[in-house]
Amino acid sequence: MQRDQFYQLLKNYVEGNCTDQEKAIIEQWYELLDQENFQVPDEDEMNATEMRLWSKIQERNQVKEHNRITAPKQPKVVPMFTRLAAAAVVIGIVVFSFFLFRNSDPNEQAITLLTNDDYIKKSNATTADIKISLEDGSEVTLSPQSTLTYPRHFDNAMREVYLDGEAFFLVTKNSKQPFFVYCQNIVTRVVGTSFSVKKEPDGEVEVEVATGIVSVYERGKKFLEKPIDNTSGVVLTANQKVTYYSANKHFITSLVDNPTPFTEGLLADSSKYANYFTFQDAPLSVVLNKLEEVYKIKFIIENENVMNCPFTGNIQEEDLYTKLEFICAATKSSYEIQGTQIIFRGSGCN
Amino acid sequence: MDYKLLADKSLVEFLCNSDPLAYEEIYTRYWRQVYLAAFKKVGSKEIAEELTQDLFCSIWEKREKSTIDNLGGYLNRAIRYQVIDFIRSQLTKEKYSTHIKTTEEESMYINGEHATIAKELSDAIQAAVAQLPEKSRQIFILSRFEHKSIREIASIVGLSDKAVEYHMTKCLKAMRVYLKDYMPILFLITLL
Repeated sequence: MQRDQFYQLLKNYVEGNCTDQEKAIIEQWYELLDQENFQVPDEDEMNATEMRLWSKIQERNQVKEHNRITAPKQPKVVPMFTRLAAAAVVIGIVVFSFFLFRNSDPNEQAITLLTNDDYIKKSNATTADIKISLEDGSEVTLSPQSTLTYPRHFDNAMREVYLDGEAFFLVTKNSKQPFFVYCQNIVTRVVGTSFSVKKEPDGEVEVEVATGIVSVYERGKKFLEKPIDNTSGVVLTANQKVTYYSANKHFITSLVDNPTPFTEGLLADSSKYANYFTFQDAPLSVVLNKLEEVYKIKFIIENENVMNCPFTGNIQEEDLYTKLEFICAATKSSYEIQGTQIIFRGSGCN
Repeated sequence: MDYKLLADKSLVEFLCNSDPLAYEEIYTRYWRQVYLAAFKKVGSKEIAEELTQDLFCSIWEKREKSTIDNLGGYLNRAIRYQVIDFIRSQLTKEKYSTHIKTTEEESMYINGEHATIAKELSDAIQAAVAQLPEKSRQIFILSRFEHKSIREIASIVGLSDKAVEYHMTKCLKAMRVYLKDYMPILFLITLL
């Protein structure tokens, strides 16, 4: 048996240049290749393999797609001189437009650089936020010193945008076409909601949710409806935020700095909300229920006795944390934010 | 829309339109079959993973031009090609590998040689099968060349599933020894 001939035979097979007879022989030989001590790995191992393999596949596909976006129809190697020249031109445009558009509408100060025919890249070189409307009706508020890259036309199956810096997204609902924000190596996936994404200079990424449900996970990881641990991603709801630490690849969830109240659909007559948080000897349970309802935040009560404490006062206008300060002072209790929940501590009232 | 409920045909259609969820569902549905098929042949989890990865990446890459008719069948064929191509690449790494000239004259000669090598391989397989004890041979042929399941074979030959499996293991081991010239070195490690 000649190895090189066998090699050539296999090569022909793979390339589809075999006669039918040769093909049949190779397939017969292939059938004999099974390892005699072959055993299917156990379920746990298979599940782990499934996840690991999927993230590798995603990563490879993304690298490919990314190359398609950033270097389309262009030779990969650009001589240094050309690059410097190009950079000089861009700087020139930035400086020039700054003087040109100084007094005009801030939206026009954003510089639109066309990366190629399919993508639009907008950089906010101004000192104020700018609004960008996407073709699906979604709106992006782009912070200064930030860049958003998005396709001229969204794909049928997904809406994908790329962010460098900080932006607030108000996404129109379309469950058939989920919306993805890629920021560094973090993916934020939504169906229709509003939230902000911010890249910190030290590489951390922060996602804050204003309304709706948002999934955040690492690029290349599999999207899970219910993530299993704090390395596989998180699902956030209103008033929650997550910080991704790139150093240890962990997601830490917490509450946004100033939670927003949700009053829509709460009362038939919205004018009644005006004294929703005015209490007269109300038990703490009533007060906390209203807070949970309006801020969509879960309270954990350490000692049920505290729920009978009476509370009197008008805390309508205060923000959530000031409201809590007042409540704690009146009921001799304290609160602590733990993750996305608030722990309420107190020994109770007589 | 629940992709789990979609038929393979629809998944392939969605895949052509670059639907990542359809792609993911195809992976979820078929990765196991593909991975195990490769693992069974190459005997290395790492290599099986690599080959599976290559296959699924190429499906995504070629998604727009995809003409897959029967998804399961397509993937089975595709992983077979991947494995055979891998074996081929292993052959070049072995010391036997020699430079193959491809001038016209040479390739005519090589094509002539192919017929011989294919025949040689076929003969070797026949001879290997022939040296098996009769019961084993019958079981082996039913399994490998007629693609019957263990259960089917058990009922044909009137043995328990366990006994059939035992025969199969024996046969495979014997075949590997007999056909060792056609097995890449990697595959032979288990024999040493």
